[in-house]
Amino acid sequence: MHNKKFVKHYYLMMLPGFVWLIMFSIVPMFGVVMAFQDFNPVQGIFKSKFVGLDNFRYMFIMSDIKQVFINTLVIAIGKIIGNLVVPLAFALLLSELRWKRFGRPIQTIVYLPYFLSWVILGSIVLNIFAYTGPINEFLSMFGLKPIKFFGRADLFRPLIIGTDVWKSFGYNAVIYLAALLGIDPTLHEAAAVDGAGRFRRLLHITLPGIKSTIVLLAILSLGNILNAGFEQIFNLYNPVVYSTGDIIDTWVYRAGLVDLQFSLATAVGLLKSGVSLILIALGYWLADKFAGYKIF
Amino acid sequence: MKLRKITATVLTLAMIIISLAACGKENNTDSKNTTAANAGTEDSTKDDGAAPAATDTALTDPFGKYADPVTIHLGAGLNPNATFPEGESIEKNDYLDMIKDTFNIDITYDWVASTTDLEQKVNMCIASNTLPDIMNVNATQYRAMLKYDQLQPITKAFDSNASDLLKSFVSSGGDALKDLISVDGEMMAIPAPELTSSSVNTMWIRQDWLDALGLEVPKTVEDLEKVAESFVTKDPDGNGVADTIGIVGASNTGFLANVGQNQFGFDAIFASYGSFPRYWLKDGSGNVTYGSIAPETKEALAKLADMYKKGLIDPELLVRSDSSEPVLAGKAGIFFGPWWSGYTVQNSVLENPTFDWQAYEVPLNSEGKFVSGMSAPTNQYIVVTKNCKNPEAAAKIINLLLRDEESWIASGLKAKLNPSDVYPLFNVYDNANEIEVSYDYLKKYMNGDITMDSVDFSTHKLLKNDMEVIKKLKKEPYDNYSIKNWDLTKEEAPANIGRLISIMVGARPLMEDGYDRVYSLYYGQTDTMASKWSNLEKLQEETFAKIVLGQASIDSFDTFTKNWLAQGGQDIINEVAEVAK
Repeated sequence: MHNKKFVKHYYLMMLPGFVWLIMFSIVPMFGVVMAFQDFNPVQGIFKSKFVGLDNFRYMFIMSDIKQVFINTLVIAIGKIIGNLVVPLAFALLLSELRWKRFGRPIQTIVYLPYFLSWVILGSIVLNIFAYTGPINEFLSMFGLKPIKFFGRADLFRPLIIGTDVWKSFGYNAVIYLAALLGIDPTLHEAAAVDGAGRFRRLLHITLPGIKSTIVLLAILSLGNILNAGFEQIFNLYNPVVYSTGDIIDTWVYRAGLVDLQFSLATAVGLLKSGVSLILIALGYWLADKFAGYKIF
Repeated sequence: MKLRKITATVLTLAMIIISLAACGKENNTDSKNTTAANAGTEDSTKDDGAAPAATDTALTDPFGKYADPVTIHLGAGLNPNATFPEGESIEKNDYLDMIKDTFNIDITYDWVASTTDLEQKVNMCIASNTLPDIMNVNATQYRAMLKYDQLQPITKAFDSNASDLLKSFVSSGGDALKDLISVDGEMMAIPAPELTSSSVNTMWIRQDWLDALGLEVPKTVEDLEKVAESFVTKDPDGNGVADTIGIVGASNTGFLANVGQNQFGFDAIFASYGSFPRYWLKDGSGNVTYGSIAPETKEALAKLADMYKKGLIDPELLVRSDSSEPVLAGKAGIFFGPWWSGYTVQNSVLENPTFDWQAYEVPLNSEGKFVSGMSAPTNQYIVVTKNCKNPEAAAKIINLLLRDEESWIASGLKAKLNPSDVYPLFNVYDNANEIEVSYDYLKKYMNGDITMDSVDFSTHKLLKNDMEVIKKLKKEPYDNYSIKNWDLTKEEAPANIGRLISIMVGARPLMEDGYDRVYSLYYGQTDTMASKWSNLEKLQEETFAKIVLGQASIDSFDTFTKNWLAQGGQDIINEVAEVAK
């Protein structure tokens, strides 16, 4: 099994991934030099005028950039927490089901929205939460006034986080379900014999058993700490919710691709990457310190 | 063990082959593009070589044919709903064959993007400097390309190759249009002149709802409020359910107010308060100011907020992804839009002839006049990029469209494959006053004042067809253009009713009642705007939206004005004052 020849195949199998990484993640890195230039596409990144930190200076005097960073952080952290806790709870509930045959169909159904793009889900969500949509119909049955869900800045973040968790929890739960299967059933049997109830077994056997999976997923998701989900927000936002919903990516899109301010957009994007790097490093260090978990 | 090894090797090999194949494909297309590009250069070098022989006809005659084939690289925006006859595509169709036959020009598409993504695709091309030879761009893109020095002057190519008709369209825009397309006296773009009438956003209202409730056409904002309230509360569609919307407004990608045409905007309501958001204007004391921060705008916003609160405006204002939806479904009674809104409602009218949409100049201002802000003289530019060897081809391709578009209607080609979907560099090229003129002729024709023989169609390419069709579709009385007076069952109806409603209903109020025009002092982009404008725009959109939707009090307008001026607005006002002096 461990002869060297066989290991080579693994490296070969990694090759396409590496090519992809170099083509799409390493090579474009040279483009960050645009952030320090007054970029002109005809002159390209080698000949455009160098302006030092001007773009960054301008970025920080813009009134909304702070708000945009806060929005991004709040929404992204909300999504990270939601996407850890909800699938975990769901997977635990599913594994505790007495009637096992029920589990499969449920798993498949909640898995479905994951495969739809936000372009499609966006209009579905807007319709569900519309002023005369099903949710408001339901509320009105209890005599409640209809709510203008996507026309209110204060509701935008919960809606974004909620719909994102709804879209992906079925998918994330699969990983937990796989981890749950890895727990030795004899432990459960022994504990049951010793008189431990369902809840105690959950607390002392199941959770410790999948602890490393939880930590791993948490660390991996830290990479998304400044990715609040461009596709989703772009399809759902409007000027009324800019104050709570405009994120770095939508801002960069408008500045760079709508208004053609390439350098400014790159500067903001670069800052985003810089901050992400620090946060990921910090998260990794914390995971090592408190959970003793290392990827490398 | 051995079996496993073999499986692993086979799998690995398979993966490598697949990935190589993928790369290979990319390379192939790349090399194909390069070959195509080289071929282009070769062609043009050949041209240069053969130029002396071909000069006499190809470079001076608007319909002159090149002696040797010329390849022109374009990008295309393709309407995803366009249908092609069997065997045809955007890259192979009758129009391209005609261009080839007439001029010996081969059109090659470097890329084809959906019309919904076209703007983004063109922006990407500008950013990466991978430009087709000739492009159809908007004002922002045009200015960016000028700034980056990506364009070549076309003065000579246009003068010697544009047909008289095209020249007359361009000159119909006057000096204001000439200024926009010129740099240091050189012509940099072929514009599609903005139709004057398109700037005017009138009120479109369901006449049948008004009649059912026994209401008069509103005149002032107060009247408008009363009518909208009745539309919301009195069940105008008579289905027994309170499901009707008073006034439909902008969608989540639309604007409450904008420069020029702005379907589903509230520009007319703003204007009735003397407010012109996004226009550069002179205030009472002669100083340059920006319409969005004027005190009149605050008044208009306060009124709109009040109307929204009372439920007269669609509760899903700015949240909807498509504002035409409730209009087409017959759930809305009022919206604002330009004359061409007839095209918007045509399908729903064909299916439900009772939907009697009529346009009126409402609301009037305190002096009883209807005022409209006017847009820039053009918003569509055909530009020739630096790498194009045959700049005159741009004018030639458009010449053919202008000369023959009418015959394509007659021959049935247009019904089979619409030029607006596939014709290269398509724009609506017309006289700036085309709609007014068409209305005038059609009205006189229906009244029996003129006959078709007395009309000169040479500069009015669609008028002949309009006159023929209106005779078939219009029922008596000829001076009443209510939808019930049209015969919508005729076979000509689906293809023509949108245009005829647009002209006879949409342009009617402009012609019969007249209107006052307000022009912006400046339609270009200043230096400071290039870097600070998107931020200021966001500030404005957010403030306006929050005020109207009741998320912020009307007093936040004062904070907005202060911030707007402080964050670069004042600098821009100074720059505009300098330019517009």
